[in-house]
Amino acid sequence: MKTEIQNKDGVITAILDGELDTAATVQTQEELKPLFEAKNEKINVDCSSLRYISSSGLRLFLGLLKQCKANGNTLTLLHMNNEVKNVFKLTGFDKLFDIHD
Amino acid sequence: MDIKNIRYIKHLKKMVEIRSFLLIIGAAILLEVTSAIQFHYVRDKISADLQLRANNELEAKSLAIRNLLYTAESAVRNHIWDAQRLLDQPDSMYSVARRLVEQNPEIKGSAISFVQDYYPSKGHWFEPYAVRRNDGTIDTIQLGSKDHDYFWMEFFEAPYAKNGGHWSNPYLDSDGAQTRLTTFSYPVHDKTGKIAAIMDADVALGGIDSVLNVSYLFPSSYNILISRNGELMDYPDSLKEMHSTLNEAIANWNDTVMHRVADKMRRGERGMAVIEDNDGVKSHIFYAPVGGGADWSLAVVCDNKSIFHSLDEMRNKLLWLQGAGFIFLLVILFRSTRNINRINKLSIEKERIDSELNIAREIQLGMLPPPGQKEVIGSEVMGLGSLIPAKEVGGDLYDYYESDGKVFFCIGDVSGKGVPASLLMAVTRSLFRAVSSKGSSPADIISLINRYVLDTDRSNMFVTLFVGILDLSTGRLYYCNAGHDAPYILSEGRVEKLPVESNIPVGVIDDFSFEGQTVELPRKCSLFLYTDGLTEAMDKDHNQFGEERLVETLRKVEAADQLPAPQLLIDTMSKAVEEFVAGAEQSDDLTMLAIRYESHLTRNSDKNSNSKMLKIDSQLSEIPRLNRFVEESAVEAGLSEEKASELKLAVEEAVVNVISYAYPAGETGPVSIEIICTPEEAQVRIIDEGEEFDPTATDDVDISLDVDDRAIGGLGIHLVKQLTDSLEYRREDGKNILTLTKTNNS
Repeated sequence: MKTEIQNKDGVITAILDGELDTAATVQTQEELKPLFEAKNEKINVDCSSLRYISSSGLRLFLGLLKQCKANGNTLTLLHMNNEVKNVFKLTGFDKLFDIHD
Repeated sequence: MDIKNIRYIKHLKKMVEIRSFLLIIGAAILLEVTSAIQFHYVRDKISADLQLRANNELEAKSLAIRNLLYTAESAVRNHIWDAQRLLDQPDSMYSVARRLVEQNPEIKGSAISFVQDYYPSKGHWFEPYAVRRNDGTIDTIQLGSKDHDYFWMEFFEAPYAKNGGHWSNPYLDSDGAQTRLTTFSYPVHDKTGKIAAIMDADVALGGIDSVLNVSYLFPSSYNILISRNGELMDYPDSLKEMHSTLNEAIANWNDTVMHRVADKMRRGERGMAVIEDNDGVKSHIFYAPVGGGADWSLAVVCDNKSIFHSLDEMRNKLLWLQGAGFIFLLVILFRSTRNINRINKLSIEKERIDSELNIAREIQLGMLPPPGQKEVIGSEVMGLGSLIPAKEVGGDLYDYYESDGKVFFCIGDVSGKGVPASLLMAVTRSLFRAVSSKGSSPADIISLINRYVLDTDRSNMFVTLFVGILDLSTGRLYYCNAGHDAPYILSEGRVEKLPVESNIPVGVIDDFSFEGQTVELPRKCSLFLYTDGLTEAMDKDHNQFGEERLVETLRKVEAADQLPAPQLLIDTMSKAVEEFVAGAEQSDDLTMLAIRYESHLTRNSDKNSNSKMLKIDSQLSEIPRLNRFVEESAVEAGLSEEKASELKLAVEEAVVNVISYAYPAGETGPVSIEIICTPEEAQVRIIDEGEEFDPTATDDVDISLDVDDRAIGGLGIHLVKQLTDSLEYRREDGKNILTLTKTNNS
């Protein structure tokens, strides 16, 4: 699991590459720390290379969403593949998040 | 049999012995008494008869003697006239005497003895005498003289005194021939009536002898003839010796009866008595006066031995016969009591053997899985055995147990019966446990048992044996049959024989190569194993239960209740056999073993099934490995990538759940993940040994809630449920077993 954060044109974009399984979540959470600390920013998470997500990944996203709301950030999830999108649907997360292809 | 019974039987036996003995003794006494009475009467009758015969004899002999005497008497009387006529011619007296002797051959001599000085010319003594010499010539002599002073002699004095006839006592002839004589004398009167002389005739007693001894009552009988003085005139030699009178002859007799008899005889009495001589010989004596002119007495003596000879002989023979009879009876009694003893001993011995057999039987049954053994072996298999023992200890055996994901079972029948068979059964059963636990194949197990049995058993017994190992991880049954009846497989209403190589029984050939076999068991099936005690169970008419009835019964059970519980299968079969034999005695052990198998493996086609197992530690770092394993296995099995991914997620969530909650904080434990894939579906079993936790029982999370209200937890389980087609949880042997199934067609 690789995480890359780009800050470009006032938009913070996190690129997730790999499988966000339970084992990877702790590390990923650590790497996404800047997103949790950002304030009044526009945050995009590029999921095009995210091949897999587990519930711990979902919790990571949920936590990020709550933090974003608290910090006045906007959070958009981009380019989610079907499998990951399916997991979001199954958990009702698709309704919580702003998801764009 | 308890001691009380043994005592009772001993007591009974003694009673029977005593009773029989007394009975025989009683019979013997009764018989003897009857015989004795009978003999007594017969004896009396013989005595009475004898008395009659003896009296007849006495009478006849007396008559003969009287005849003899009468001859002599009449001879004398006839010549008295002659003498009287010639009294005045003294010298003619010689011819008178001579004529008398001449005319009477039985008369030895005759004298005419004149009173003193009757003829003065003839002197004081005058006694003309004619005597028959031994050569038959007759001499006449003058006998009287000073030396033969006859006036004082009996033959003269007695008739003179009584002026009548007189028989003298017997005496020895003086002529040197020692002839015993007796003399009849009669007075000769002259014309004035005075006695002039005494005329006599000498009779040889030998003539009486010949008359008396013509016949006897018995060969050993003898006669005693005595004169009135008791002088013996006829008698056996034993009495005669040196004695002239009967009293002298019996003087030394102790028997007073004889003395009295002698007195009575002298007195001329008549009677009968039993006498006993000093040698103890008893005799009957019959006596009576002879009658006639002489006051003689005649006795006939018969010894009892002769009288009762035939009776005694008969009695002796009877006694021998009776004795032999009683001995025979006693021998029979003895033998029969000995037989009773032997039967007693046998029955006591049999009791002992029976109780030992019962112990052997209990030990034998104790070696089998106990009746209360739980039916369930592992989660997929139920097993139940039943051994209905015959009266005698038999050699049937069965066993089943689970170890390391495999169910081991066997059924066998040792040839023969009794203790040897049960011992070999015990050996076989122990060997099965010992050998099978080493994880060998059924063929190896049987080969090893074969070798052990041949090494240890020298009695040429053998065992038919079926050994099976059901591998729960594959659903395959590995088995080997050593000459046993093929088990039946019941599945989906069908009843089929398991195809078996018959091989040969265990214990026949040392290096026989037993051929093992394997089969994929249907997903749901029952195995029914049995010994020939079932098929060969016989009713009273010796009809066998047979395989047809067996199959029919199995079909009925299977049709009524697919995948029946082993208990039902065995109960139904037992009942069918029981009804068939209808109370006939069971001759052989009847053993059944039912194994019910319901696979948890998901597969529709056995051939395409694929099973993989992964064992991990309960820590998150194992997750990537887990995910790779699941995904690869699923894809390999033909699941779409999407499905594979979903399955992967479901498994991960489930395993994470285990990692998080199953083991105490800070500790890890083993988690095994088994995945069985078919083209149609994939099934994953997650097994951990942690705390009991049923994820299927958790409440569903509400996915419609707003972000602020959404809880952090519960998502994982929710996903598992969402991503699988079926989810089953069970707790078994301290393990949590969660089974996830994902079908490939939805």
